[in-house]
Amino acid sequence: MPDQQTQALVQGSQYWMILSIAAIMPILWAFTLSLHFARPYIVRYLQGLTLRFGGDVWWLSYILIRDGLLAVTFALSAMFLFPNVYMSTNLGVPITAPLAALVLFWALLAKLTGDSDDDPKSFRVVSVLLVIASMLYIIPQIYGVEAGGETDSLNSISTSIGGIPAALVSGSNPDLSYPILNLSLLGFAVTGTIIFVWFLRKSKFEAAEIA
Amino acid sequence: MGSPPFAAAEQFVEGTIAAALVALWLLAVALHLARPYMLALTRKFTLRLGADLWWTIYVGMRDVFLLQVFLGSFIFFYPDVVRADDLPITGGLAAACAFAVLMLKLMTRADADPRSFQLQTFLLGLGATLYLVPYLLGVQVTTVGSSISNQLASVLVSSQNTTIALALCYLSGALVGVMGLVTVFYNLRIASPASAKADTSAAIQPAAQS
Repeated sequence: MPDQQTQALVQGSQYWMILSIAAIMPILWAFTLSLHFARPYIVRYLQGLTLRFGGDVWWLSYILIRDGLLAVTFALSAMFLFPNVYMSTNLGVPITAPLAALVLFWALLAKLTGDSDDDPKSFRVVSVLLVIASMLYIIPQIYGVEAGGETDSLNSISTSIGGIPAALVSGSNPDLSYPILNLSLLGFAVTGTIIFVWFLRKSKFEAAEIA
Repeated sequence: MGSPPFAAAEQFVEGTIAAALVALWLLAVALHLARPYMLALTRKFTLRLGADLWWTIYVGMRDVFLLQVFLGSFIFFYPDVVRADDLPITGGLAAACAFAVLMLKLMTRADADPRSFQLQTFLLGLGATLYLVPYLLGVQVTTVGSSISNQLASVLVSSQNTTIALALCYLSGALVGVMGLVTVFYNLRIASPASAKADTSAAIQPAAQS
């Protein structure tokens, strides 16, 4: 196979993989939010369990799936911080995807530094951050990336709304997407540093005791 | 990126999700309606541990399947997908019904409230009908070729009735958005310091299992 064809196939597959992840992300976000906001239902059910063993299994399973999913969403969101991916005119990802990743990082920071399962204030902070982050991703994905073919029909309604899909896609709006990427990268660095410093200050060294 | 092989691959994935949703809807409805059978079996256990596990697994599976139905239905909120693919035209409304059931489970005493349970049953039935009927009589008759099947497909398949399909796509997106905001505010209200006290006192009285 000639080199150019190989290159085209590899690049095409990469693009397909990235766009598939981008398209699955709203589902992951919805799953993450569903589990986070299912807490009252889970707690209500927990009160109905008659054995502590059953209660522990139920609660631990819930926490494990909820937090694991949050971590997976965060890990996949990091892809939108890659300049080659985010700024690509061929790909077109949601314009506020890096900001969504950043706000999710803040939600994880709030979870780490507070007790969102027992402290109502911390729970509310995490909830609000998660809602903001999901909206920053889902809205431009649905009404930008997945509505590129609607420009003509939107123009027929009003020319002022015909530009909405393109404005919400990173590659076709570099004037806005470039500052967003830089801001998000800076935010990531600062948030990461805060977590690192917090961890160093909070954690105490405990000597291993061998009996 | 609109190269034909990858566009075809995307359509294949979306078509597979649409087909899998038929099975997911059937499972979600079947598990919901299996409640009396599960309860009868729970009463036969001689160990409380066995009964608790049985009931927990049943409730977990039932609710996870419903959540999967909603998550899989997310493709019905994408305007380009609704326009390009052969999908059931009311798939988005069915997703809104599934979300409404999830919302009811969250905001009411779900299994312990007969009225809420009835409403959930009705919404599940409606959602399954809104999905299965246009899928079986629309999406699955596009290659039959008879005049009736062509007429049915032109009404029930999203890519052949784009005006209504897109209107329903935006409508169902808005419905789910509004219901999502209601659940967020419900959670925030529950997590307020005042209601936390009420929750603590309520926790002392265990809820009934059935």
